[in-house]
Amino acid sequence: MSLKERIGAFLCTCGKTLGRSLSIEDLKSQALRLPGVFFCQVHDALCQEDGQAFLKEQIQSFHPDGVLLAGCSPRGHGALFQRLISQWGLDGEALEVVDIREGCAWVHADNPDVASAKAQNLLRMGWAKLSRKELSRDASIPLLKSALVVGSGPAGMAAASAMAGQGLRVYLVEKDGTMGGWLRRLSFLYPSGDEGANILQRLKQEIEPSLLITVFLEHEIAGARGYVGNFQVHLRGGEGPKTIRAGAVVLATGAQPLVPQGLFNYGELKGVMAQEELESQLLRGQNLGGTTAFIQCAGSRIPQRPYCSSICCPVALKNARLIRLRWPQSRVFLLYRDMMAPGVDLEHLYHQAMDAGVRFLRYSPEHPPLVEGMDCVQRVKVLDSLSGRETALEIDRVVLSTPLLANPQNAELAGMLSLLTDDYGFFCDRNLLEPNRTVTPGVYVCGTSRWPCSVQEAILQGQAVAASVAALLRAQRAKASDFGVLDGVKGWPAVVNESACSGCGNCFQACPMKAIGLQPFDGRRVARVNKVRCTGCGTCATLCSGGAIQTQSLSDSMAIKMIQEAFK
Amino acid sequence: MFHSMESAEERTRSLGRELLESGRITGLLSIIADREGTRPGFLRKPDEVDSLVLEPRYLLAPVCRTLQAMDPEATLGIVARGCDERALVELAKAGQVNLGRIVLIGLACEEEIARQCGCGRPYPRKIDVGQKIDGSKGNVSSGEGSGRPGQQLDWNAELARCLKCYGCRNACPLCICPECKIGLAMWVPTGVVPPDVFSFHLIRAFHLADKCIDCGNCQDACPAGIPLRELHRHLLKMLEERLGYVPGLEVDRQSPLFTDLKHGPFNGPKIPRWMNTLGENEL
Amino acid sequence: MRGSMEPKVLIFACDWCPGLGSDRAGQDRLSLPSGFRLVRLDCAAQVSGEWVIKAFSEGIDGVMVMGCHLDACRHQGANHRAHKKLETLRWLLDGLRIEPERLCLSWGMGREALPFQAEVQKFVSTLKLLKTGEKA
Repeated sequence: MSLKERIGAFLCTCGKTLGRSLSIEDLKSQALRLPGVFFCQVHDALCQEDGQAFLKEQIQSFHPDGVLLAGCSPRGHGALFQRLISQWGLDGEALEVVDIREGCAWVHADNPDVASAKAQNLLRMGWAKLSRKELSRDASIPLLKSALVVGSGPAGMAAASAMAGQGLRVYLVEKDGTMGGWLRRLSFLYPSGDEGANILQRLKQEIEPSLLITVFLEHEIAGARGYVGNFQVHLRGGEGPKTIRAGAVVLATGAQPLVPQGLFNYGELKGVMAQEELESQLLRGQNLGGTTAFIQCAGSRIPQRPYCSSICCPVALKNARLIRLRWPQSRVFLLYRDMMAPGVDLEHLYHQAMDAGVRFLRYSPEHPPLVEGMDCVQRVKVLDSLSGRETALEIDRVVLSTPLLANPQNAELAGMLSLLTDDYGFFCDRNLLEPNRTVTPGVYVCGTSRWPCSVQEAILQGQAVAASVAALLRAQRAKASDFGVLDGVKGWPAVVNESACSGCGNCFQACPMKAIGLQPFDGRRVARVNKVRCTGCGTCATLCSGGAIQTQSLSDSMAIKMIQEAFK
Repeated sequence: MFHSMESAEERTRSLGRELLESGRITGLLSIIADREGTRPGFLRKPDEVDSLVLEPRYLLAPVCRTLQAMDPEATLGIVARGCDERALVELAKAGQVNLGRIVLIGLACEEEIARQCGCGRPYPRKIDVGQKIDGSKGNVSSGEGSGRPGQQLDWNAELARCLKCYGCRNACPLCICPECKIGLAMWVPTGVVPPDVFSFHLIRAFHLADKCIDCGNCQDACPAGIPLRELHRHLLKMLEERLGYVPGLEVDRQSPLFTDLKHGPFNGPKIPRWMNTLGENEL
Repeated sequence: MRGSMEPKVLIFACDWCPGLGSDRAGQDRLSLPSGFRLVRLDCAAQVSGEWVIKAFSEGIDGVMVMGCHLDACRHQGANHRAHKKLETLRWLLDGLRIEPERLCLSWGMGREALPFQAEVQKFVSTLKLLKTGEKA
């Protein structure tokens, strides 16, 4: 380990305010006493234009090998300074910003002696960390111009088609014998009223003739390795196992509706059906005259499943209206808890359903409707929560709107690719600004595998993912440091000192991102870190008895020195 | 007693000869006694087995590791007590030995030895020689054979006798790091004896928290008579009570320190020998 | 710190939650105990048990490890392992009759100004009580 010998220290007074709470002069003389610090400059506002110009001039004149900057919290301008110094020829990581304001002057405002002494310790700690920081070379990774899509529902097909349109090679993997997912079982779609079969046909027409898309029907994912730009996904099915290499992986595994076993006498009485069975009946052209009651929120928005599945109200509205229009003598009741129909089109659909003569009755969750009958359903008793009156409706069929549940195979895929799923099994996306990306770089999610949504929205998400993937894979190569980023902050990957590594595998087993592998080296096995998957959390380093693996942002030698300087 | 000791020895010898004669093993690791003294030995020929003895108790597992490193293709035999087997299991988890190339002659410790040692499991999983004696309290960790529960000791006084001879670390079968941290000046200041209580002993005990198999080598090796075993035993007891884990028993069960809190004690994934999440590419 | 009665506390704080709390406490000009020093980390999981041991051996009275809520670690639950590992260290300290309360683990409490202040103050008063008793 080599220590830095030309550290430039800068003290910012934050518009002269810090000088009132602690002694800048003492801090400056402390800085100059630190080994390896060869100048210390004081400025009133380093973040402002003239401050930045000053920094630039100093750095370019004196060529320090590290910059120690004391002032406001690193969360304030840390990223800015990092960017600036790397523009001026230094590695952005050769910077340490010490917080002497929010964490010092401002919380010890009543005690300037304490604040001064503490500021000096903090400066020493910052110096300890900076002088021992070692920076590793970045890695350059190749980017394959291909993507693998798991699932051929509307989201998957839209993604595949759009990516092929961008010139990418696409592999579409589907576990069933035909494409389409749930789209095959839908009669009409909301809010457009398009026939499901029609949309399916159009999507297929974008895929089947394409020379860039290969469809693997009756195939499943057996395993996945690799990282962004170069995934190796193992498939099983067909004539035998195969491995596909792709630059990105798009998950569009979809969701399925809950089977309402045990709810509202489903399975006990004939005539009580789930919404998808109604869709089948609509497709088959079955007679749906008579009296129908839709019951919303069957199995959703309850303690064990407290989410709204967002599609059930629009689907019920669409189907209720359809029945009324096709069978004018029919009676249709829609029993709801809350009507979830956001947006212009769905609000319009709501009114259309009302205009078509659908009768709406609101129930509260404490008094759910009672479905009664002997062998066949005969009536539904509902306590109308708006009028307070109990009504008994003579009913020929009950349609239960159940929520979408996450695909049970999501957990397995999440394990293979080191992804997060939420409490309900849907894939988590990264954050607000990166909605279709997952914590693993190069893996995207769209459609109902991410959250219940309509066919229209699934298609939208598929196209959104395609745009992201195309942007990702545009270049020939990328840097590993482009990817170790969470919320805009780069986490530096861990490094292994092979000669100190016993190959015990502690790090490999504990790594939450599965970013460590065990490889042969010199007749034994040692750990190796994948710089793309590693997010720099440090779990590996804390479990290494021999200190062979370290995080660069805070290695053992940096930490020990900081601890020793903390109260000197 | 003496009579049954002899037959245990004889039985071990005959098993050993059988293994060598059949060619199943290249050599047998055991304690031997001859004119030059009693010591661990590696017997290659059936007639050498005459010098095999069973006492004193001495952990042969670390020697196994050295031998395997020298000749990875050979299959070795070892006269293994409970502690040997536990050590081999933990070493296998850490990729240091290949269990597939080790044949164990399982030796259950006899009563005197078991009582003196005080571990919770003085017998291997499969017993070929000897009778099973119940360990202290029936589990590995809470053995109180030495009669002094860890928490009653005055550790400051005990550790003040430490000479920093590294005997404990050298004798421990699970201390395998090429660059031992507590040998580095950064962690344990050089030239200071006794070493700072925290740096040396706490760090070592902490590293071994989920690995110690209660063999007692550390305590046996200590020239200053520090009851080091008690330090580890306390931690093993807590690990078993709170996280349901005992090191050395199952080669497929990983330490709970590697998993989320949501994974219960029995849900760790299997440890594959080689696994490469990096794919085929260099990075 | 020369001659002060204030306990010396080293706080390892992950930059995402408690780091934010520290900044907010400063912005709100809350008053904090004088004896603490904060080390910012990418993740509380970076804190090695040996660092804690080293801190104690350097004469630091108490160590706080502050991280995000146990279900909110953006490094896929790295804080779970950190918790278990540092709990193990607490058991070890206890076994040596060193007060395990000297190592404080705080998950998800430090994101806002007032809870951050409360956590630090609570720990400092715990240490003050220990100081009046016997220190191993």
